[in-house]
Amino acid sequence: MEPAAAAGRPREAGTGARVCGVAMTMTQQYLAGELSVLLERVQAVATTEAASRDAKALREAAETVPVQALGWVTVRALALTERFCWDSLSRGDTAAFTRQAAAEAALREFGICASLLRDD
Amino acid sequence: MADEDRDPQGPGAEVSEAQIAVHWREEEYIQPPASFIEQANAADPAIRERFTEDKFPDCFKEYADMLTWDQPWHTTLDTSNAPFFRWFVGGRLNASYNCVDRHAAANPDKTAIIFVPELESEEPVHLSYGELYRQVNEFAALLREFAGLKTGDRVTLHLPMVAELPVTMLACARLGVIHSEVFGGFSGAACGARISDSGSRILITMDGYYRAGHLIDHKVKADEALAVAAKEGQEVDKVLIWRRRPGQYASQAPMADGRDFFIDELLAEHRGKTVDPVSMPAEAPLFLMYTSGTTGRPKGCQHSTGGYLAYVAGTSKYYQDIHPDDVYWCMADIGWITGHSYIVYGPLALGTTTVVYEGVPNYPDGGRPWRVAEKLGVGIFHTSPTSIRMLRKVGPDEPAKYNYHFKHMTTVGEPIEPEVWRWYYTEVGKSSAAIVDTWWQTENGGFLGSTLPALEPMKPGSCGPGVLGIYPVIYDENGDEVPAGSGKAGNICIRNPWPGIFQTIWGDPERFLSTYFQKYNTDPDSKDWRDWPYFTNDGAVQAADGYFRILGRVDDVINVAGHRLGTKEIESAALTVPEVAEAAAVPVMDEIRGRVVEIYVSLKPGFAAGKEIEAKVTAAIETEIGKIARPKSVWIVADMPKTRSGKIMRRVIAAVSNFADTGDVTTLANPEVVDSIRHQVQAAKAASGDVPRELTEAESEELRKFGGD
Repeated sequence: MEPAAAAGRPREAGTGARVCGVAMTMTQQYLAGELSVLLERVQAVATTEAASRDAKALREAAETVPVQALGWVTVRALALTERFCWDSLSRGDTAAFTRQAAAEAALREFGICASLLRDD
Repeated sequence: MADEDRDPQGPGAEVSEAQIAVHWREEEYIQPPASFIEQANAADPAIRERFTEDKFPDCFKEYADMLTWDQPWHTTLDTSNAPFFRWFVGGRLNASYNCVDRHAAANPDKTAIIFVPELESEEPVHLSYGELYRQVNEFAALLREFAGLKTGDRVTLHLPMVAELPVTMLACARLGVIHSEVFGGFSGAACGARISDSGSRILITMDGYYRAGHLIDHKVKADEALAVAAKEGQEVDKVLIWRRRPGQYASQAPMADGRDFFIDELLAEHRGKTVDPVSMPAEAPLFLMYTSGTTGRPKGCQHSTGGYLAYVAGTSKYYQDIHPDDVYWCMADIGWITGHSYIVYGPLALGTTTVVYEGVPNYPDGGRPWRVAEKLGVGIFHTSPTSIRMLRKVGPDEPAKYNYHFKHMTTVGEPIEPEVWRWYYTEVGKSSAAIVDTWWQTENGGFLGSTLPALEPMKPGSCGPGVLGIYPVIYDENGDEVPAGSGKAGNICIRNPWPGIFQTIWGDPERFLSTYFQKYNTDPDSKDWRDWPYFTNDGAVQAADGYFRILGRVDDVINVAGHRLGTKEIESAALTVPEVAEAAAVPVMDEIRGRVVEIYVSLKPGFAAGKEIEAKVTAAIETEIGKIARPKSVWIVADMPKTRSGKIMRRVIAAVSNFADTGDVTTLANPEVVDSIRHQVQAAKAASGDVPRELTEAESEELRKFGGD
């Protein structure tokens, strides 16, 4: 998928996700809302208090940062869920891993469809 | 693509058509089908003549005449306190009456709202105008008699996509109570901040709702919201709770005795009651809609009753092509401005049938929206490019499986890629619908840029020209007009006020003035609307045919070794560090790289400054933007110099970093902070031998202009 017209600098992140461009002001507040909902789900699949706090902080960021920062919040959220997944795998907790991987997949899917991430 | 090719379109950025075409080539026109033109509300080209600039502002009488007024206005546009413009002054009306009563009287059995539960096992609920009238009146009676709400009070709603949300909004409007709906998916903390800012003492929420197949516990957020609001000094007296299924409580959160009440139980006391709609001045606030700002504190955009309602009625009629006998579905959430304007107020003012869908569009599969459309006979469909991309991804062939027919479709929220547009047109619209691509913002109330669907051809990727009565212009940084067809980008502004524009930022008129009007105003005392172009904060380019392509947010730029870095990008990266409350990036003159970045941050309460946080900020910026943006210094300060409206004075901070004159700071809200920062920063720089040479006049001028202060 190609980025939107105002594509900005794609950035390598730990998850291989890339931020895509500068979001429009327009009527894009809803992207903050959808990201907040997905981060609530990430928070719900955290298995430690510290991990839950990290997810909560990211959700707060999604609800307060300017719209053009949402791409970066998404990248950080992906890195966080990936960390959750590795932690669960290392403990052999497949049930937690499954929930966390699903949350990460939903986040990635949304990020790409919302043009917050590049699909490459 | 190399970094240097990705210019962030900052002020003064000269982006050629050729550069833009790297992403997006000029597309061909697509004409609307004849069948659409035949029935369109705006099919006579003479409509454009009625809204030319020489007819402004009286041209908007055509929109206002779509409403029923208790008392006619005597002044169409009052500019005496520009840019706090007042529309239809002297006029009185009630929004609830216009959206409910007059249709209930004429067509009580006609469906007003179709609520579609997410679970397909639950049948859609049809709410007639007569039933809507009954529910709005009974709830208005409850709000007045039980909650003690009166005209001018604010009330916060934290409701999901259920029919009770428009009922609640219209009950508030009936009383002249200002509603402030917070998107249902937002956290309790976000809701609490909005309760506090608006000064609400009543919260209206719900026990639970369905999303992606799960029953979400929603009431639990109310407790968090109240705690946050209380911490900020705002106490809430009562929490009124709609139940997703009356009589059954879907939440695990305990009810607070004497504070929390089930609405379905309270309504028993108000059955059959009617409440006369309060006749409101046209300029009375109807609602607040919060939008995120650059300071971390959301802005409460205050929308009026008469101007707003007239504008959304008019644009719904001519651009959404809504007729009273249509079934219209806008798949946005009412928690955002799109839902307020184009699910609730616009469609209901026109007496049509509007669909409220509870869940996510791709649950349980990508065919869900098309099944809903088929089942309900939806003729007008309205959604965002994000949803279109999502539906295309999960079910590209799904639309063809269902027997529905859209005559008209809308996209909103961001530019749509031509190939996605084509899928929307050919697959979803089955190549027989007119599409309007719209551009506007929370602050605007309704569309600013779009095509008249029967009169102006579609062009994928472009929103179209300014809508009726809107005269956009692209200015460069010097305030010179960028001509159409020049291939240059600039700041898209609206030269004139319009009825749907927000009135102010709730409790912060200075921020309203400085953010949206100061940039291109040359005479602060002027009472002439022509001197007050509205600065949208979006960049755009205008093709020779007058169609606009919106490019994105404009931003101050720091030029580091030829790389133009947007300050908002850098600040946004810093803001992703959990400890950081506020951030301001400024340029510092550098002999080798021209400019380097320094970033100032203040921390959230409970965090202490330290090297670890400095390193986190640097790492965040490097990770998110790249090493080129690595700040030379991260200054953790106790507070930022701010205007009384809360805007960070980057100009002052930049002057401190460059040992330059900070200018007059006496008008700041916290002038004492400047000395404190100067001592902290300059002492540290001096100790490390990092004192810059004397600035040239051009450099001093650049700093004075920095931050648009």
